[in-house]
Amino acid sequence: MTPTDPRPTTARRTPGRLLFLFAFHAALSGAFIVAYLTGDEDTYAMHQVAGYTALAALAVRLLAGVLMPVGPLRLPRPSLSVTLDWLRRVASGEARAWGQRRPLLAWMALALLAVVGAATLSGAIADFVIPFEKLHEALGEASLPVVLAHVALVVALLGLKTVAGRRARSNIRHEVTAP
Amino acid sequence: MIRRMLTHTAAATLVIAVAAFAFQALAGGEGVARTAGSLATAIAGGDHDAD
Ligand code: HEM
Ligand code: HEM
Repeated sequence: MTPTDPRPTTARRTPGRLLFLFAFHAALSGAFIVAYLTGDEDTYAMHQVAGYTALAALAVRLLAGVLMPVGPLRLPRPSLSVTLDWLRRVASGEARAWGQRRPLLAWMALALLAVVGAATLSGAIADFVIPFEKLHEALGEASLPVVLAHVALVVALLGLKTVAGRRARSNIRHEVTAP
Repeated sequence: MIRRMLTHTAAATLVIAVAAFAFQALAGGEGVARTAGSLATAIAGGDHDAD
């Protein structure tokens, strides 16, 4: 682990809460990957383990979001006006705006939680009510593009942020900063 | 943030994959070899036989 990201931390971004977010993200994304790869009759037991792990992670996440409505654990609530403002500043070439990744990621986080949540919940229902299998398969397949878009967005924003940071610092330091 | 998300995702994928595999192979009484075969088919081959 490298000491990356020396962004200013607010009082509410406590290490414990961030750790919770990492743990949640790890459990959900790991379970999603395994569940997606094992959605097949012969690997059903594996699919169940992974699927219910995702369900548990989502349940804990929602609970934390409800119990702690402020700080990093609040559920993503993207705001249209903030997003439009951010896009305007990006379009007008304001370097600082690149580094502020929040608005787009909030939409993405909400879409992810909704789509992956729907897939997982329908899977748990299909475990008991077999006709739900068709719906669950459709939702499971539909969530892959959203997840891939999420990873693409994260990587893209990381690249933009690195470039912006380099540009913003270039009047102080002249060496190349590694990503 | 992003790098930590990535490493955590990778680590958790491995842990969950191993746990799920162990569950199906051992608790399910299917055996390691058969489970590995099913997994390979599910990931690589879909419902079709290798040809
Ligand atoms: C594989 C590489 C991945 C990386 C590097 C990555 C990175 C990230 C980052 C940096 C965030 C925080 C965004 C923010 O600042 O708000 C995030 C959020 C999120 N990611 Fe990923 N992610 C990955 C894979 C996945 C996968 C496979 C899933 C599948 C379900 C997933 C689901 C989510 C969700 C639901 C959130 C929102 C978290 C919340 O606010 O509760 N991610 N991801
Ligand atoms: C992250 C969560 C999940 C994802 C991404 C996911 C994904 C999928 C996908 C893509 C399929 C279709 C496979 C195919 O036939 O092509 C599938 C099938 C299925 N899933 Fe899930 N699933 C999840 C959670 C669950 C859960 C929690 C359960 C409950 C045990 C479940 C039960 C099933 C069942 C019963 C099928 C039908 C399997 C069959 O063909 O016999 N899934 N899943």
